[in-house]
Amino acid sequence: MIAPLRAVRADPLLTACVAVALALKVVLFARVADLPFRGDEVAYHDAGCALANLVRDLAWLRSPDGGELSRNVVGSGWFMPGMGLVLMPLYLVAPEADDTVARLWLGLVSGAVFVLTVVHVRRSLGRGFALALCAFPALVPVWVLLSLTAYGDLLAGLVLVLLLTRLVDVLRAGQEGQPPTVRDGMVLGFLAIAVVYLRSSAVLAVVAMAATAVVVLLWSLRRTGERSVLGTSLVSAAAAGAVFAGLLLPWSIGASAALDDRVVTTTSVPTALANTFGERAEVCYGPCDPGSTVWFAPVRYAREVARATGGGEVTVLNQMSSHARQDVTSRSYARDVADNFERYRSIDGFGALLKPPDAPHDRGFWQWVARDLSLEIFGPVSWLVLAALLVVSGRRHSEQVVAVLLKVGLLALLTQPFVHLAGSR
Amino acid sequence: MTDFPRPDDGSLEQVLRRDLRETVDHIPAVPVDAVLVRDTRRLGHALRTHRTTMTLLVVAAVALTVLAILVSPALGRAEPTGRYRPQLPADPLELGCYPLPPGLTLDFPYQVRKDGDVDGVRVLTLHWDELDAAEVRRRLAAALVGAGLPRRSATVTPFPELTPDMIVRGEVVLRLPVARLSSADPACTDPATTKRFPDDWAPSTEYG
Repeated sequence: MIAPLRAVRADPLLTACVAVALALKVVLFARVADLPFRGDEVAYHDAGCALANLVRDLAWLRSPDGGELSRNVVGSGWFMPGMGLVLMPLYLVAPEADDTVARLWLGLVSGAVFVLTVVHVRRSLGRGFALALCAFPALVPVWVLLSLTAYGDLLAGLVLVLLLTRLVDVLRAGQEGQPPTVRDGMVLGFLAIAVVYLRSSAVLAVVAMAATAVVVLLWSLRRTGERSVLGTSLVSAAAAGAVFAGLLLPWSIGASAALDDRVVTTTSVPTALANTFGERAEVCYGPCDPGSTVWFAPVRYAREVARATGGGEVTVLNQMSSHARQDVTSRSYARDVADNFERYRSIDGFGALLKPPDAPHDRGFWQWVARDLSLEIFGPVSWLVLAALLVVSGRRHSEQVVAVLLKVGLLALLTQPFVHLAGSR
Repeated sequence: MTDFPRPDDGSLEQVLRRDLRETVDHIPAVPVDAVLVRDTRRLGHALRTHRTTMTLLVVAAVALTVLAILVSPALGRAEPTGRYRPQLPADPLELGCYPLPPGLTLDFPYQVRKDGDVDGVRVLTLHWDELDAAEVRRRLAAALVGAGLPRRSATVTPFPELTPDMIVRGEVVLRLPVARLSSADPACTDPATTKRFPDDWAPSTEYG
């Protein structure tokens, strides 16, 4: 009982670093407070509203508005409702909350998750990692700006770090011959599915880390040679899988029913592939309807086909994507991947997204802070990431565990440019 | 040789006890002084406070959540914008904004791609689904003849590189007499619905 108390004892330097990071958040909140939700944020807002209405209806035993849920929570099946669930409590108690209040709420949630992550990182990985987290990304202006938006990428990243710390704890205990408990497994499963709900494309990182952890765990427990220990570990892993699948199912079933097609996580992958590597002017077997974007126009077309044939639009989207990609060569693919990597490393665009609608583009102090300064910090760190992948640590077992999990997670995250038009998020 | 007396278990125990006593004598006793008592008390107190605080926090959070859920229906409904999944506008030919010539009906699955007048002729471009080209030609020919229009009004072009499972199969271009706007439905003024796109609408090839 004494150990955990000691572990959370105040650390002046770390506390100060967290305070600085949070102070930066407050300063930047003043900057974005007036900005209305834009782009995908609108979809997350809608999901939050519809989920709040669902809770309202269930609380008073009214039948839920299926149409509203289908249109706003599932939508076109692009986004899993993680951010909708984050916003839901706000719209539950304040149905008319404006976007300033919503940004404040999002800032509070991301701030709380950030502090929680720092505490856990300090406990599992040590003070150095916790301090590093406070510096990067918590002091990168654009990251802080992002934490005040409804995009789920940032929270997904923090929860992914939480997942990493828990995995490290479990693997360390495993090294000492202690198998994880069912409770451990359930917590891990919950964190994993939380990451996927917040940002479905992180599913690869989650699955890769989980698979690596299971292998490492069984490897270290094998030496103890006790069947019961192995059995307990497998039960725990099964519990993690059950929680993951159990929480994924409501979404998969709901989205599949709403779109009348099979949806596991999201429907955006085929369109993303087509837009990134295919011929955009061929996605709708020719150009899509003008006056829209590469995301909405193909879905509109697929919905029209689905209406005409009585089939599902997701199947149509898959076929459209294959058609648009039929001329992809290894050379064009490689070139697009390289372009994506470049974009991965640049923050261009996001600062512009956060500027007030009438503000001049690419100018002014805040644009400099959001873009150029962030880029100055992000650039070198992205090379550090590469270095982290190449450095092989021969030190203690627990450090190796951390290094292996980090590498696997990073590699999985770096698959993004291979499948999707990379963005600054 | 003399047999040494084998120590019985009783005396062995005695020896062990004596050794233990002597060893214990060397270990300085922990003085149960005021400082130890105070520190232990403080630690115990801190632990109890920690546990009580956590319990109270959890209870408060649960109570607040339940209260929020119970009160929420009285606070009104949240209004989603629905902008990310707008209602799909009706098929322009069914809507009848610019109707087909009298007697002409299209009895195959299609979606309108483009509509508009070029040099005094209405050019209506469709994609058809599921059927093979011969079947679409047959049905179109029958429909055109039935409406008193020449068969050559329709050009049927299946997509190259068709695979059997492909849903959308090809393109039909119909050259018809010019039609006038003949519906007061407000949707008929939206080019996205009528598919009569103005020239200055940018192609949808931009990221977002």
